[in-house]
Amino acid sequence: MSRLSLIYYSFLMIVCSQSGHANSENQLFYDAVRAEASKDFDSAISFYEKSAQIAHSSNLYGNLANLYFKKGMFGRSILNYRKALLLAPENRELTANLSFVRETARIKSSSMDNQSSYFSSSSLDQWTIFTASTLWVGLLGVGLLLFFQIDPTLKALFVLTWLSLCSVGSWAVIKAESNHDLLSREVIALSSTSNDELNSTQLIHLRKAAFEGSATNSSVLPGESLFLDLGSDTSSKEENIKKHTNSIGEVWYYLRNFEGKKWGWVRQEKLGRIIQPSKE
Amino acid sequence: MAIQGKFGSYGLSNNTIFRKRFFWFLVIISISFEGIVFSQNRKPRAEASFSPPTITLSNSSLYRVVIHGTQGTPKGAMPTVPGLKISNSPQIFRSASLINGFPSTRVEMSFQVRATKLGTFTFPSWSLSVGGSNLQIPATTLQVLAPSQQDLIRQQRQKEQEQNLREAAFIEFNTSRQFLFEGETVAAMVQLFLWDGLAVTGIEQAPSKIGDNFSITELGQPNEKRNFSRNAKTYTVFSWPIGLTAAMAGEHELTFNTAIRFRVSNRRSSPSRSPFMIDPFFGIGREQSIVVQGNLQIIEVRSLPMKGRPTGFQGAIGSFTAESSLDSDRVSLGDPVRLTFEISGSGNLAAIPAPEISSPKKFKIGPPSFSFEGNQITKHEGKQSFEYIVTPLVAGLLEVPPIEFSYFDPLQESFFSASTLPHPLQVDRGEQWIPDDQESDYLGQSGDPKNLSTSDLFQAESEPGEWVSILEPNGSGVPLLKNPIFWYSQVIPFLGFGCLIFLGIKRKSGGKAKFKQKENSLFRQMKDSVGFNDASSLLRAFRDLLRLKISKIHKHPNPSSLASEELIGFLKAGKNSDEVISSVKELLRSCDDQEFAGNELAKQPVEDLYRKGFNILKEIR
Repeated sequence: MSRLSLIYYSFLMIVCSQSGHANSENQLFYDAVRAEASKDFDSAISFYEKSAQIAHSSNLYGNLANLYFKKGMFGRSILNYRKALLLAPENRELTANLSFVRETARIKSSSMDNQSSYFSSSSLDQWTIFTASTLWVGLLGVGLLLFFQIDPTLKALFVLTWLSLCSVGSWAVIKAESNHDLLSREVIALSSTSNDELNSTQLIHLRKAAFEGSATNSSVLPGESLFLDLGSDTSSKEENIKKHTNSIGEVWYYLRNFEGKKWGWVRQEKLGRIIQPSKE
Repeated sequence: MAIQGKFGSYGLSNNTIFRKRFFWFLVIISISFEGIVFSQNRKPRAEASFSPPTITLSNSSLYRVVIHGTQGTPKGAMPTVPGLKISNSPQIFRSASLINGFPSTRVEMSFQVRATKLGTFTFPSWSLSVGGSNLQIPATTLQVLAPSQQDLIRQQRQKEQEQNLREAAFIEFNTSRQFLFEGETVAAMVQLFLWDGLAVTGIEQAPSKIGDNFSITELGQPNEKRNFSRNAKTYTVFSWPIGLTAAMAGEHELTFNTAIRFRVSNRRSSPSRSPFMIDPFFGIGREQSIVVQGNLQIIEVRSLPMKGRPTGFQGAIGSFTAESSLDSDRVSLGDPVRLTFEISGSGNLAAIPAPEISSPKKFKIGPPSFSFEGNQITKHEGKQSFEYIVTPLVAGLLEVPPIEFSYFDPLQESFFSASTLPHPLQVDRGEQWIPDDQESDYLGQSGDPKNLSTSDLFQAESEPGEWVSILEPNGSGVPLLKNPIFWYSQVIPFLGFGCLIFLGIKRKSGGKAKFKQKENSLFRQMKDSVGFNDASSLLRAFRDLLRLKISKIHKHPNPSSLASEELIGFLKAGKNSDEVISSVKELLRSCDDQEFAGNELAKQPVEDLYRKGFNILKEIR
């Protein structure tokens, strides 16, 4: 009993002295919540952003998106809702919030958003497993047919069903893989400064050439989705993304919208990537 | 010749002198050798004595053992004498010399001896072995007298010096309480007294606690107080305020010690008798480190009483007041508010855990943050704050629940419970961003408008939820399709499939060979039947062959089960000619007749039957 109490009090003292000082993603998150509760939105955003550099959670991005919306920065709000939905695709509150922000920012849902979630990027692994399982189970079934004498009609039915399932699975994998590829290249148009973004009519210009004075091909609103264009080289996707670094160090990306009707060069600062490329 | 003679006489005289000298040389050499041999052959002998043989109780003597005639290392066990303390490590001295023209070697061992009582002590005879031979050490006597006046003076001086040293540097530990309760934290003070006459050059470390049953707060920078008088001396006092927490019930020892460095004068050269006084004329002395030990204190630690202990008691011991506050009394739905709960007073503030708030469904309450205002060193007195983030989940006039807090007051030796006041909180419905009639449009295809409340929109989550290290839709970062492990794992079903195909083919080819073997055997039986003129055996073989052939053509799994009617049916299905079918029918009937009606067909020639059957078997399809 006395030894236990010694351990208990020591542990209690350590816990109590340490609990307030941990500089983890949790601590930053709670600091941000407190700052938000004190209506100090700028500090809250800063804490959330710092926390997001350590780890990711749907609640973190959801809260961050809410704050950006409250600050009138719709592009960043949409970007963070998209990140939150990546981690919690079934969260209906986030989906509804994203729809609302898009409505407020006068952004129409792109064709990509209207696609069935059955072939979304997150379903790629499920489709891969389904197709591989179907293929091998079918092949094993065919192998077992060697041992049993079954009615040829049944055999034909089995093979037909198997081939159909394999075809559906393969098509779904290709579709989901394509969506995954698109998602990995998807960016959200942002205004370069928050003040600019307060003005919802501020457009982001897609320029014909990769410099600021170039003619404008088309324009998009902050929060609209665009896709990084790929070059002809097919070696590595990240290296194959069309970009240009000019003499003053500005990085420009060549982008298209989902329908392919808008395209042009946009400066890196005006874009927010949903999935950051892995640092290899 | 003269020259020769001269030379010759001269040579003779020199030779004589040389012989004389050579003779004496040999004599000296032989004596020397004999002396060495004599000394080598002499038996070793031993002597023992006390030096001095008479001492006072406060002095020491040397027990000296001298072994003559050897320089070998003596081995043996020395006896013990009650009343005498003899050192275990003797000083050994070896010597070799010429005594009266004879070489002499010896080993001398000296042991330090101290007496613990008065009297005459006889050190008994004991044996030693040196170089393989045993030696008997003779007994000797030491007389111990009562301390002399000089000894007493010296002892008194030594005691005074020790007392001076104790008074020169010491540690005191003070606490306001006579006894403590288990888990109680009290403010205490550790004081290091350094006499100004002591040339302290530095305190090597802050006092450290000796006593595992107590924990103390960290010792920071001490408070320094000069010219403090005690014991007719002037001190500099260094004080460390600490928070002392008793961990276990019982009577436990507690003390503190530290180490200081100071300069001591050279006693031989300085006329000053004090070892601490620095005499610049005789030099500044040498630096020495000593451990300063505090007095051992026994502190009683009592267990907390079980009687009257509230259920919500979490270990708070002290005298406290509690209050809570809400930073806003009106918020929009989903906006968090801060609920601050403060405990003020003195006690184990650092060890008090955050009180749990009963969280009704109307609120979401996050984990609290801690902060302490007050004496950061002892953390015994001050204000401990717990800040909770409370998020209202429903609109309306809500009430933030009161916080219950229980503590034990060690002075009144009883438990107390305190409860804060409930806080009213007006929660507005907030922005209605999605009109009810348009809600379904916003939800898109995946939304279910019936279950989604618009009031929940834009609610800040007070909990971070599950953290992931990579922001990817599948969580892992790399899709399965691009994961090499996935592709390597495909080898397993592929191998299974390969094995299955191999076994299937093997089985099929094995079945074919067996079929052929059986077919040949039946043909041979038919032929043999002709030789033996055995119609019955021939017809049986024919029927079996027919069954085999038909089952092969029509892939029947069990040929032996086919009856005559079934065989005819298969033949008809196989588009055989009526002639063949009627011939088969006839032969099968003959076979059945032979089987069941005896030897009705014995009259038919067997060769005809064989030929007929053979032809049929060739023609059937």
